[in-house]
Amino acid sequence: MTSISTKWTPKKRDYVSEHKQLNKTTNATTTHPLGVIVTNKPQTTISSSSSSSSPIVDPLSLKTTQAEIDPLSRALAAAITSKKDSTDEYSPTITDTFEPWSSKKGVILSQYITTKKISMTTAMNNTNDESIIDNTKMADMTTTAERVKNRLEQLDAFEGGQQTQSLTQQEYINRINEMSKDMSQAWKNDQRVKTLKIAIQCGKLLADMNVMEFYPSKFCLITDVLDTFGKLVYNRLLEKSASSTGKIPERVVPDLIPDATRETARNWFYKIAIIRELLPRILIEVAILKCYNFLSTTHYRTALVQLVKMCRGIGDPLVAAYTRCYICRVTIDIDFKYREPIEIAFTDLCHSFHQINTATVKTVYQLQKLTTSIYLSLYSPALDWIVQCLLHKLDENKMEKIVNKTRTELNMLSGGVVLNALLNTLPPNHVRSKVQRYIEMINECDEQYFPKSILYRSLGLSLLLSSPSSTPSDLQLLNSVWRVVTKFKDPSAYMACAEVWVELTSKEYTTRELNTMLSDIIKHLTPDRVFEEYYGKLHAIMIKLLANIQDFASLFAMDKILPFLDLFQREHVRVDLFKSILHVFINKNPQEKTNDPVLITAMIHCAKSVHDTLGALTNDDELREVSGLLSSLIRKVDYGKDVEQELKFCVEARGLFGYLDSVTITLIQKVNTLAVSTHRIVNGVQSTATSSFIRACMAFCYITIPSLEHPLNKLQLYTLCAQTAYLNQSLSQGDGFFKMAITLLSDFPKQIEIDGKLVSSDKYLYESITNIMSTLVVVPDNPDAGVLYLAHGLNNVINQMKCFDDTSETRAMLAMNMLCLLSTQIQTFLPYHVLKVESNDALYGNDESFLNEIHQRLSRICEQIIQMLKDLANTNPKRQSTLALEFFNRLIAHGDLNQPKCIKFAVNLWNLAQKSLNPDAQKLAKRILNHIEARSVHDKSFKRLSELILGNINDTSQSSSLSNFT
Amino acid sequence: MSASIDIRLNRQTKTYNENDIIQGTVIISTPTSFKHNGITITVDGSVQLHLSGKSVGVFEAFYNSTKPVTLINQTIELAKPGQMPSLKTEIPFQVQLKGRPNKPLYETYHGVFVNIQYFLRVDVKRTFLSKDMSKQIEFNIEYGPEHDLAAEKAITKPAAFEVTSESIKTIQNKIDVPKFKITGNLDSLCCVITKPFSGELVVEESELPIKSIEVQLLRVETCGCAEGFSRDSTEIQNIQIGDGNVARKIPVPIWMLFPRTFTCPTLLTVNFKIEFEISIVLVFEDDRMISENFPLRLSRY
Repeated sequence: MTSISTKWTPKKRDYVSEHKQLNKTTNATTTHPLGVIVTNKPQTTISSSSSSSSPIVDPLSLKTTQAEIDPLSRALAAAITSKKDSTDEYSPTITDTFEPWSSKKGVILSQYITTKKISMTTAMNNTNDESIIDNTKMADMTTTAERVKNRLEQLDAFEGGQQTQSLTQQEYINRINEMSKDMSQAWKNDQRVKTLKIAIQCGKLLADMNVMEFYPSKFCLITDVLDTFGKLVYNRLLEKSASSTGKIPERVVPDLIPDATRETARNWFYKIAIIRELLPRILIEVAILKCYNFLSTTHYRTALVQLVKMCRGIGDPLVAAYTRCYICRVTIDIDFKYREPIEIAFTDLCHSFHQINTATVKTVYQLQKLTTSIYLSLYSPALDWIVQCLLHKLDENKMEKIVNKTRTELNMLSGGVVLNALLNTLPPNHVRSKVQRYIEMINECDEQYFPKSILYRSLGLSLLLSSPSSTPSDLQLLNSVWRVVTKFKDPSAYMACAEVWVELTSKEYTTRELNTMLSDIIKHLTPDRVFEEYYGKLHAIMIKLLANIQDFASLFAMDKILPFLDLFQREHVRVDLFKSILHVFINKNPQEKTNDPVLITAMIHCAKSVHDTLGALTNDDELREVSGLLSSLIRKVDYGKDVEQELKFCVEARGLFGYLDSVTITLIQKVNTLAVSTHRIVNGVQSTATSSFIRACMAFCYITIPSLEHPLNKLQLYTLCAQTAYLNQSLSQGDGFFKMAITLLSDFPKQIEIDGKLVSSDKYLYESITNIMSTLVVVPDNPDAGVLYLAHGLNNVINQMKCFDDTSETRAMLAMNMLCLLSTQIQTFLPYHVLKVESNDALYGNDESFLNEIHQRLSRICEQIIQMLKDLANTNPKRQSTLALEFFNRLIAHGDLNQPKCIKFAVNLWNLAQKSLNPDAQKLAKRILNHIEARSVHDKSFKRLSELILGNINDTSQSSSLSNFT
Repeated sequence: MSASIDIRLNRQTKTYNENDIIQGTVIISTPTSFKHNGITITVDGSVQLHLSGKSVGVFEAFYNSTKPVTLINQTIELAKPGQMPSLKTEIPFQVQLKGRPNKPLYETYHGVFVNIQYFLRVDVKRTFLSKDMSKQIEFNIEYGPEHDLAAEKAITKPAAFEVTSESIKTIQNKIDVPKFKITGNLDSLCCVITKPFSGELVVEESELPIKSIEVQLLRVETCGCAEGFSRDSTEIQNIQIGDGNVARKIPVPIWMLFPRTFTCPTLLTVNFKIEFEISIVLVFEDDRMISENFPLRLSRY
């Protein structure tokens, strides 16, 4: 076909038949590889119809769009829904059960904290050695009198070395943990006296009232130690009762307990009875109260009542309250049904509130600079617990009685705090059914003793826990509450209520009420810029709103939402808030797109604020997070058929989010998608309007891409845009993109950053450039430029590129691929076409001079490659072989093996390849050989080639292949 | 290692009534066998009387005459002279607790000037070259329900009291008394020793803040005879029932267990007496104290 005979003569190819041969009939996928096996789902028809409409169908994504979700996506969906469940944390079932102390403890420990120094009076740690001596002494003491005397001495010694330390909160906690550890250790070493002493010491700490704010937490810590002590004693007694029968009894029946155990138990109680001080005596007895079980089945009842009454002797009302709380805790643990001590505790506690008015108590808390209401709020945990114990599973009548009794005492000091405890613990459904009465009760309380805001807050929380009878709920309820709340002067009180009630409104009322509430909040917080102190609360409100309001658009349609957002004026708070808004917006309905202009404007506003805080000091994680957010936001915007609007949006977004490359990339991708979807809408037939739109899209990309930093991204986007341009018949634009790409290649850096690491760019370049080459197959030549102008340019650039190492084979590989490209260009019909674009096959129509030009170039490149191979012979024979094999592979695919020169060249290459192959290449060689043999059945030239090659393997006398190159 | 002796009583509480039979085991463990001249077990019970230091001058002549009063002294031979084998030997024993005629066995009591104690002693007599071995343990005596001294049962004898600044003024002739008023009632001044002492106390008013309210248990021991006697009152224990400035007008429970062996039923004999008193002590913040005493009669049943 041509006069120029070179080593590389492309053969003629009939792509259509080749394609037919290659394309075996395929079956449509009906099951997801990861999915559950579903039988009898005749979905094949649907999938085939949909696959015919779109050119490429990804079987995986196709299946996900259908009802059958693959397990991974299902897990994801489940995670999202479960997250929703967890935000809705108050489900009515939880409220039915008794809130255990352990959960309450966590809340108390996190709520009642202090930064002040706490003083702690303890014995010096000098008792260790002493106690050891004691034990030996103990052994030869016989009489009880002596033993007791000795113990008293020890006790004195223990108390003698007291020291007072000032500790921070954490040090204090550590100290108590240490004491607990010491106690267990002493118990293990059989130093019972010491154990008891440590327990008593702990008990004494509870009488210490300094730093009251910390008291509830201190109570939790110390009662833990006491509980441990109680358990130690009880378990030891249990073990002792086991020793006679051999196994530990499951149930303690006093009659079956051996005398020795009973005597020990009795001794414990006698020992405790002589503790001089009241508080430790009560606490320790309560701690080991369960041990009464060894003596009699009912004795604990009288003991409990007695102990609760003894609390009246505790002068400090706060200490007394918490001691009662501990007794109630133990009561609940031992006998759930026994209410008497709890009732006494409650009544006594209510009585003791009178004491708060006395000068002694007042000076105590005023010395610590606490107001009456703060001081009273310290009672809340203890009171809540007692009331919870009291009300648990109580019948309505008794509950009524208690409520009514509280009502008569509302104007007293105790009224508010007790009502608060009731609101916190009464069954939410009950509160909701009688809500009007509780509102009245709150109004009856005296503000100076207990802040109403806390009461309204508790009421709101209780209402949140119960489901409303109807949605939207009773407007009157909201009105009557808000009428009072809105008059609160103190912003902190106001915000405490607002936080809860806005959440309630968002859940149960319409956006109209919500809007009013928000405007009220704005009104309250604007004077003196008080909102600056409540960013946390405001943020929490916003989060609740986002979580509760299903319809995002209606939320942002409220006219007060933007002024509300404007309250967040400190930058980092604002940004955090906006980030969470964006998060919710993106994650709420991941599939849903929006074209609501108000919503989009609002979101873009948020996004812009977030974006504008970024700078050189922002860390990578944050950059990544924000990029992800903004990109997802951009993807959520979808104007449907109004493509021009969408392009406009992209232009705006580009202007706003210029700092983040990945966002810009998303925008470029989006514009490309736009162009392609336009192409799909017009079915490939561009009108003047659409083609000008496409040009606008392409122009957008053309000027946007250079602003990116990463060369590889640029290169890939140029390629993508060029492909989009060609697809839409914008040839000159396509050429423009490729020109840019080729220019970019000429000074491509040696190393690029991928995932924060510097990597050699070789691999990526090979992929990208090969991609460009395969696009170039269909790119028609510009009549103003020379033959295969772009391919030529590319080839030149490949030869000049400095980014390849001397050792890299990429240049050679790319040259080989260039050979393939040129060989394709020679064909009468190109393997693929773009609709409505005339490619070179149609343009040149196999023109002689065109073919000649290509042949010349082919042989030039071929020579170049051979030269490269030769150069490698001395430096790296292994690589030479690998490259030779690659070359051989391409030659037999594209070369015309009927040409004697060609086949000879092929055989030489094969021999060269066989010289020193690494294992991978050997496998490739084997596969190639298989291919040749398969082809040789139909193709004579391949048969000959295989004969030559196989013959060559046997015939070693064949001259060295290297000489044949020249 | 030398030989060791131990006494184990079958009754864990080590508490017996008169006429009870003490059962137990003597355990002798020795690495080498040895000869002995007999093993005996002795029950020994006595009342020890002391005089307090301040009384010594007055009753010096009398002092010497306070000898312990023996209540019981019984010796039983556990083994005849012989060889004690090596390792462990257990010898069970039983002794009946029978007082001397006309000498009842009083309850165990550990006091300051009067002590009533009972011991069980094992003696291993050995040849004159080696030391005798002995081991002694204490055990407790309580009256049985049929005991003569337990005949007088406790009768509930409630007592109400009221202490005010005025009442103090009139008694003590003090002018500088802070204004206060305390009322209360004790459930009984005649208590069963195993039951707690109980009552209630109400601080009606107090001008000064209160620091502490305490219940003191006192023993009043009298030693002597016709010629003279010493009577001393000492504290057994002090239990706080109110800590800090106790709420006004709320009944605070008074509640106290009688410690074992440090108390016994009230005992009145010819040459000694053991009596008890309760004292309610009110301490004000400036450490001034006010106390109110009540005689207390304890009985076993």
